[in-house]
Amino acid sequence: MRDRVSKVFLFSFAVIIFLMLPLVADRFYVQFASKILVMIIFASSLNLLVGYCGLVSLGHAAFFGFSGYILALISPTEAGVNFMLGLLASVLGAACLAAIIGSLVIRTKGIFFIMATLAFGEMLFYFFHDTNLAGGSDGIYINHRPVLDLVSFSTDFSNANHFYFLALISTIITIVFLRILLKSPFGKTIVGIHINEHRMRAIGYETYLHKLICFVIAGGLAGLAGFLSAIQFGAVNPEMMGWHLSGHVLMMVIFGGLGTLTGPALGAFSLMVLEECFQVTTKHWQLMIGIVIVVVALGLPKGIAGFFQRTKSEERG
Amino acid sequence: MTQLAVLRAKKISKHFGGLVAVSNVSIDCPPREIHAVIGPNGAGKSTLINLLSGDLRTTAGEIYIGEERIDRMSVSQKSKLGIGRTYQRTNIFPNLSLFENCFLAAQAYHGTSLRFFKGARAYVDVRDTARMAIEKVDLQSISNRLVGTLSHGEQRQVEIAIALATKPKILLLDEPLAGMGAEESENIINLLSELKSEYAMLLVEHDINAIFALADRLTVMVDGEVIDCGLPNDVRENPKVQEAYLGES
Repeated sequence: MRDRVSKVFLFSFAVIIFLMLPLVADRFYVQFASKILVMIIFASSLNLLVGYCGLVSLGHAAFFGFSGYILALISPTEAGVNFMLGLLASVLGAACLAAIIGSLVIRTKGIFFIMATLAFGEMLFYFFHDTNLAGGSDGIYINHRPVLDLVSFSTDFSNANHFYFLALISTIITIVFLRILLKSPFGKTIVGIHINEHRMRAIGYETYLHKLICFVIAGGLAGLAGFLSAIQFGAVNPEMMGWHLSGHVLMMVIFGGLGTLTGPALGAFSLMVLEECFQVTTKHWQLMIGIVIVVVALGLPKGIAGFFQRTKSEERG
Repeated sequence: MTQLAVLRAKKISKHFGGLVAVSNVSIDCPPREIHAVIGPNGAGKSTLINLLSGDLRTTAGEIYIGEERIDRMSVSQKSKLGIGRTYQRTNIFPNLSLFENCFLAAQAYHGTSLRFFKGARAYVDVRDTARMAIEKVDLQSISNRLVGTLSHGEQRQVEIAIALATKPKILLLDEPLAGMGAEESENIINLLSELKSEYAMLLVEHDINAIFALADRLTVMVDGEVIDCGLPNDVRENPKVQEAYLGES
């Protein structure tokens, strides 16, 4: 019970800090924080797959990028698309793609699953990279961002603060949604599949179906992140689907702690802040990041979230 | 036998390439009876259980549960029709508590696994089924322990509890006494004789004393074939059986 109160308290505290940020920080930091929030959604979606269901995907960026492309392609050149329409099209589009790819890759297991997701991700990357359908390797601009008409005013997501609040609200909704999902019978089922799929089948679960649904939900959430990212930068390019990004976000999840709700948030936050710091100080920032990741992987096998859990249980004795 | 068997296999066979693991085996499991299968190592007993449970597909023959033919069904479909099984090598969810282990199994029985929003623990009937299974194996006192931390004997009981939580019509028990001490074996034997009043059971076991304490009928398998089947005491007198199996031990 005390545990739960402190969790709610910490969550509210984090939300308040994030809410106040635009009041105190200048534009650069607001934009940077928005970028982190988008990556938190993306990492959380991958965590559902990797951390809870045990499906290690190296092609998750496919859904992130695909969703961004949908938004770019349905945005008229002279005005912004309706926000709700853009959101629905992007997220559902990514979920449909996940259903198609998922129905094939989920037949494979382990290393073959990793290779199959990687292959589909790369296929999509090269499809957008090498055809003129959507700007080829340069990608396309979204000249006018989607417009959301609220009761008293219209949003302008090219404004850093407006976008920041959009990202913040989306992040909160995502985390609350995942929390509810993981407490539900479905959530318990995918965790069971992660632990012992063979026995799950023997007690009567059609595990293929559950894994596919999990894959689709994760794809849809990655689509939400991609949609937001496309709005923030006002442009999409094939790199958004590349395995580089898939690997990067997987690193965030592992860094933060697989199979915990806070892990992806901690991982995305700390990794991006570290990258930013190293980029300012040295040209060889990727080398520094590599070293940090090796150290964390060796020292904190359960990631940053695992570290906090450990100290907490040690305190209890 | 006047009562209709819960589970019937008619002339089932399993070939692994050229190797015949199970050949033309027919077996009946009537309600409230323990049908034991014995035989030397490699006789095909575990393969037989895997065929009945659906972990392996038959090469030939038919399997019925009640009136329904099930030999082309997947293991999860068969489980839903009422086949519960335990494994020779403990096959549980080590990092979940005993209650959660049984809860997952009960959830499969109640068919709630595709509900996404209400908390899992709010499904009272699922909880009751899980609790019922734990009570049957008499492990209420440790229902919140992670099963990975339990003793081998307790884990074997968890194995049975998981099967019970799916509310099976028949239990297929693959060496439930494997690796147990005398006292733990005694516990399981008592448990199984209590369960007999509710379930049909197929028991594969090496422990001859347990077999004669529990079995209502006995099938002896050698090299994938049934060499005798009948009441335990009759089977014991069969010279072929003595030669093939009992004589050795």
